[in-house]
Amino acid sequence: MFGFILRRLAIAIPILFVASFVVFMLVATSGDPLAGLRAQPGVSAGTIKAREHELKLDQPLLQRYGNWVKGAVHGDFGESQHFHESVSTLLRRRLAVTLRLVLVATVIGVLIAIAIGVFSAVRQYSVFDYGSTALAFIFYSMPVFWLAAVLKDVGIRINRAVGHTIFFTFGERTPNLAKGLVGTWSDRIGHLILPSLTLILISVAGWSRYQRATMLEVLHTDYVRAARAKGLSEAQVLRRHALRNALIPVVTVVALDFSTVLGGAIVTETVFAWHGMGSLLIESLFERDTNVILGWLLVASAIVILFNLLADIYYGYLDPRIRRG
Amino acid sequence: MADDGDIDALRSAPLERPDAPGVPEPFAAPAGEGEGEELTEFGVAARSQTRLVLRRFVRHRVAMAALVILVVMAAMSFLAPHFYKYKYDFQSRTDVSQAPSLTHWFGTDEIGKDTFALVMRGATKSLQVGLLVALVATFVGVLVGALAGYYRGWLDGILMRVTDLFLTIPSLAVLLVVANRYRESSGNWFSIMLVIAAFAWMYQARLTRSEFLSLRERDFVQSARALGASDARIILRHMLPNALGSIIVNATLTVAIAILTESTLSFLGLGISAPDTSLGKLVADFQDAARTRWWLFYMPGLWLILLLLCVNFVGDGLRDAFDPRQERTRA
Repeated sequence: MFGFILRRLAIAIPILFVASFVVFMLVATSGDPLAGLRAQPGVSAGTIKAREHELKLDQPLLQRYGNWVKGAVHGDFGESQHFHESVSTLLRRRLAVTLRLVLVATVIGVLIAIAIGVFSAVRQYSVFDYGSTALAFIFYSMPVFWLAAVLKDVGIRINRAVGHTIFFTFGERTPNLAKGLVGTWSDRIGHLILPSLTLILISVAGWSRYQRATMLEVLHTDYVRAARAKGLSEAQVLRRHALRNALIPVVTVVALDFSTVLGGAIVTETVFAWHGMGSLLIESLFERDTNVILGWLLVASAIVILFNLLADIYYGYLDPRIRRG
Repeated sequence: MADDGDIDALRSAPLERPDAPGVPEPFAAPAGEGEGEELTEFGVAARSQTRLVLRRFVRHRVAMAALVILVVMAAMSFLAPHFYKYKYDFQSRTDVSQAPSLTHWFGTDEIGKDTFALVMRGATKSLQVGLLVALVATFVGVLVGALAGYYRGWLDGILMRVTDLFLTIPSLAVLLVVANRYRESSGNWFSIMLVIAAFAWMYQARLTRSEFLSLRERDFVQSARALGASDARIILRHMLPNALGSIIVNATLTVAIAILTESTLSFLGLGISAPDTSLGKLVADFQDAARTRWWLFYMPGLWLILLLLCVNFVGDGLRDAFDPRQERTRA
């Protein structure tokens, strides 16, 4: 097992380096951070030259990449031009906000998806099965931004009808709140409800279908038939023979979908005006804040690669064939 | 009991296809035989694979309904400038912020633009982007997948590592970064389309590769090679037609993903830009109007969802039509 983890790591780390190179080249060639300055009338060529030198834009591309990677390995992504602070503190603060949303939504989403998928497989062609299929189709076809905006609208309407705030629809916390630990966290959870509901509804649609298919496949295997044939109760067959094997593949799908959920979080945060990774990226793009964009993409790629790695290890742990193969 | 039914269904499935009595089609019909396919040796009119798939699709009620709705919606959005009184860039001085009526089907916004005309224009852009992305991404994906699956070895290694790399980089974020370059250029839908296609070919590549990996071991490919067929001929005439089913199904799903991606980019302000419009942009523009003038916010969104739902249902119907055996345990 230890050797397996080492082998996987030996693949993941080079991938991260290649990804960092691709990301750097992509950003370096796709936007001029001084475009705004150049467009201004009356800015002398000397000023632009000086700015270029200050931002190290006059160095060769490969050298810039080398310097950036050297810094990034030590956790130094440079300074943000727009936010006037170091990119690593900025990313750390924003990441905490976004991960709160993404992790809560993923964990709850997986649990609901497994429950729905298993139940509709066991009761195939029942009213529940058809109902969940129809709902899954609808939510699968629903753009995240639309669902988020509708939930926000519904939340505001309910708040107005009741006369006080039940659903928080703006930001990730109430600013300047002084209520102690319990107050802070209940406030944060209150703000989490609608955004995480958005992500949960969308991801459950895909995952529950996958769980249903896996469960059906397992239910038709020989070992489940054998378990039935030796006279086990239906509950025992389902719990000890079918379910255990049907839970393995969905974990991989969830881990591989992490990049999609992250994309969903970008959109959801924009709608609900969260100060997370999503608004950070979009703001930096509009401001052409290269250092922030680079740091953002590298950290996000690292997280996606990490989740794939964890899924691999988990799979290898459960299935010895993969470990040895 | 239920299991017996399953086994019977599986056993009888190949027999229901009168055109294939145990012989794979490409082998039964080798190159250069254009005529004489009407009657088989049994004296029964042969049904081609295409005809069978079409028959199964037409019988799939939900998918057919979705296809009809989709065609109507597409026709409406492309023909709207010819039959509808208002143009998407026309501003009325008098009809401002009006609710839906017979003159303005989906109402108007605060500067007197007609919402129906805007929605139709947005849907046109969505369909254009969606179909073209699917075309480009399918071409690239099939090319990469076919080369990797057919030649294996070092070429496969390189192509699949590149595919993996594209899959590990968070795609929406990278799309936003690249699309940012084209933000200010007007009439930018074509570049947006290319950018989306650049990040939409990976699943098609993986799928085609795995199809080709299994196809290349099949007897009819071996015999084609034994007869001296060139690589290009084997790939294009013998393997590709057999992988076509899953390629088409995946291409349909790519249309839906592309429409979704385009609307998301436009929603975030990095897609189709100002003089022109898109369904995602309309939803973003009228987000705050949801409680005062519902039609501005809900009409573009509902139209978009209906569009996506229909595309997905058509894709699902095609999947069933191409592979009826999957039906029992299909997702």
